[in-house]
Amino acid sequence: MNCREMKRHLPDYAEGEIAAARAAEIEAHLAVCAACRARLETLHGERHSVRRALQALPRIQASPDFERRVLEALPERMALPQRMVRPLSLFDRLDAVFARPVCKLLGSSVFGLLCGLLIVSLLAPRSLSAGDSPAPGDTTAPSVLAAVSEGTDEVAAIRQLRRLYALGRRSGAAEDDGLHWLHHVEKVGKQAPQEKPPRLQSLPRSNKKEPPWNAGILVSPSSSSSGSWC
Amino acid sequence: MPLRRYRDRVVNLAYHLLRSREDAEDTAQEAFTQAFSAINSFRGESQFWTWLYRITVNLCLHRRRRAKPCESLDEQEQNDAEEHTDAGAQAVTKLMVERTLDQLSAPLRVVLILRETHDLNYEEIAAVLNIPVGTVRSRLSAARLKFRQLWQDAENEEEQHR
Ligand SMILES: [Zn+2]
Repeated sequence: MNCREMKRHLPDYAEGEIAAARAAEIEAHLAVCAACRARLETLHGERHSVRRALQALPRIQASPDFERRVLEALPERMALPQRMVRPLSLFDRLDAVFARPVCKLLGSSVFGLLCGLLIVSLLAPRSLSAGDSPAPGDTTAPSVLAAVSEGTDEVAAIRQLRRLYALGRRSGAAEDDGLHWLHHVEKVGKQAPQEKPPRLQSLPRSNKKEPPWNAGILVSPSSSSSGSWC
Repeated sequence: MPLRRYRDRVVNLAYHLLRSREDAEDTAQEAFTQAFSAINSFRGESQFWTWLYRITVNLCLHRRRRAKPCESLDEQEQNDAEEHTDAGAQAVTKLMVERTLDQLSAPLRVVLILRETHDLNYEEIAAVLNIPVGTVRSRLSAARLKFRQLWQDAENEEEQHR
């Protein structure tokens, strides 16, 4: 590698963002070239001065009721267009069966049983594990989603959330009610059981807007000029 | 998983982008709620946390843009006064960092914060912001250059005041 190529690759090298093979080439050149060594030193200095400054920003901790507030806000938002729900074959088939009038009554009780089983299966392992007691100051009530949120396997937890979501969609709630039943389950977990789950307000269509990460806020630098802010 | 593991990180990301503890907490909660609510549109192509960070960054930028200039200026000035008397040199440094960051454009500021206070690598930043790695590289280098210039200017100004 010559000095010109070095100039191109040194910034990435200084950042630790370079493949091992190329790093070896760079190091071989650095061993014999004082000019490039000096340049690397400058890059390191520049980087660390900025880094030191930014590390002076304080860090905070989430408030103790952070999780509770997220979980409380959640069920009301779980209404998404049907097309976004990935079909689950077993539940699809159950759904078809329960759609028949004769089976409707039976269906609701079977659904209740399914929910119960699901909750038990989620909560039971926790109550058996002694080391899994809530952290001090943790006010989060036991809930389906809290159970989901404490596991260590991220993929499994996301899958579980999807299942819960799909179940909610199939609970017979109106199109807009989404995880209506989950809201009920959450409430039951927190306080004395209620006779009837509270009826959620139907979400207006406008709530089903495109997710914000599609808005392209960051993609175009021109859309975020610094001048408009203080 | 997500909630416990990323709670503090998301709150801090929002805090570094917004500065207000209260706004940061609200925004982080909103980010989690949005991420979980739309869990079905998460296709697993990226890691869950990069998706969560993206939502957080977008919400923060939205929130900042909405903030009324006069209000936030007043608030800032109040905070400054308190910090000058209370915590001394450290607070002055923090203040200077914040002022300097404020003068960067949003894309440069976000990249710098993700890199230097949240220790994300190029690829992770690219995934969070949905931009090419090359863009991360160029923004980061522009951000550092600009930051150092502004910092130097601020220091010179300070010297003159003494
Ligand atoms: Zn050289």
